[in-house]
Amino acid sequence: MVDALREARRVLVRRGVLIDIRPVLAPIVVDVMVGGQAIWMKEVASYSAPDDVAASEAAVRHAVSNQWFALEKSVHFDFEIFSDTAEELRAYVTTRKLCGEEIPYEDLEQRLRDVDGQSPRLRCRRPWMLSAYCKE
Amino acid sequence: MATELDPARVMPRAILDAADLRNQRILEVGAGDGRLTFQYASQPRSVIGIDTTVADVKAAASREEMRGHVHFLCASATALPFSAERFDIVMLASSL
Repeated sequence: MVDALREARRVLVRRGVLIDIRPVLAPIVVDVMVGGQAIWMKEVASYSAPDDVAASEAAVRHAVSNQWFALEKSVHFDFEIFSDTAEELRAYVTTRKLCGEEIPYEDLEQRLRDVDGQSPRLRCRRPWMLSAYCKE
Repeated sequence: MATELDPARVMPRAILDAADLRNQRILEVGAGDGRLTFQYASQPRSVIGIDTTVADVKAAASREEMRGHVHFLCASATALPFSAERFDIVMLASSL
């Protein structure tokens, strides 16, 4: 990961901008939505691999402490995934290689059935972070 | 309705808030199938998206939004096939 940052620095012009966007180590939230409103929600302790996150953060610390880049801005936001069924959500989440607590898909399916006829949807909110750095 | 990712376009808005992309030369590392790329690609002068997955690179290059100033290629973040000081902005899209 340090190598990737070294390469990014090499190909950037002086005062160029590095934008690092990635999920953060925080729980995801799953909502059952009806008419644009959440009628049920559950926090799930499911994350990207903690070792990978720690390695990423260590690499960034290395780059900043060596004055490769200077932090200019950092913002957090939720990346939202909407699905009609728990199975659709599972199909997407499976590709994201999350670890930790499993999303309660059967529970979600039941909750969708409970409000069947009101066009319910599932919303999964995953916390992300964007950091912008300036090449020193 | 199929699964929808970031329908409010929060991620591209965060990018546009973080940097002025107009007339910039951008390298997106971890561009995948180009889903994010084409949400900001109208502003920069040029965009090169790289990924290590050949299938994703092919999918990105065949998207209907494809434009002349956007290119995708298979390359690794740790050995970028570009000369020094070639880009104004480098974006690491979930690639660290």
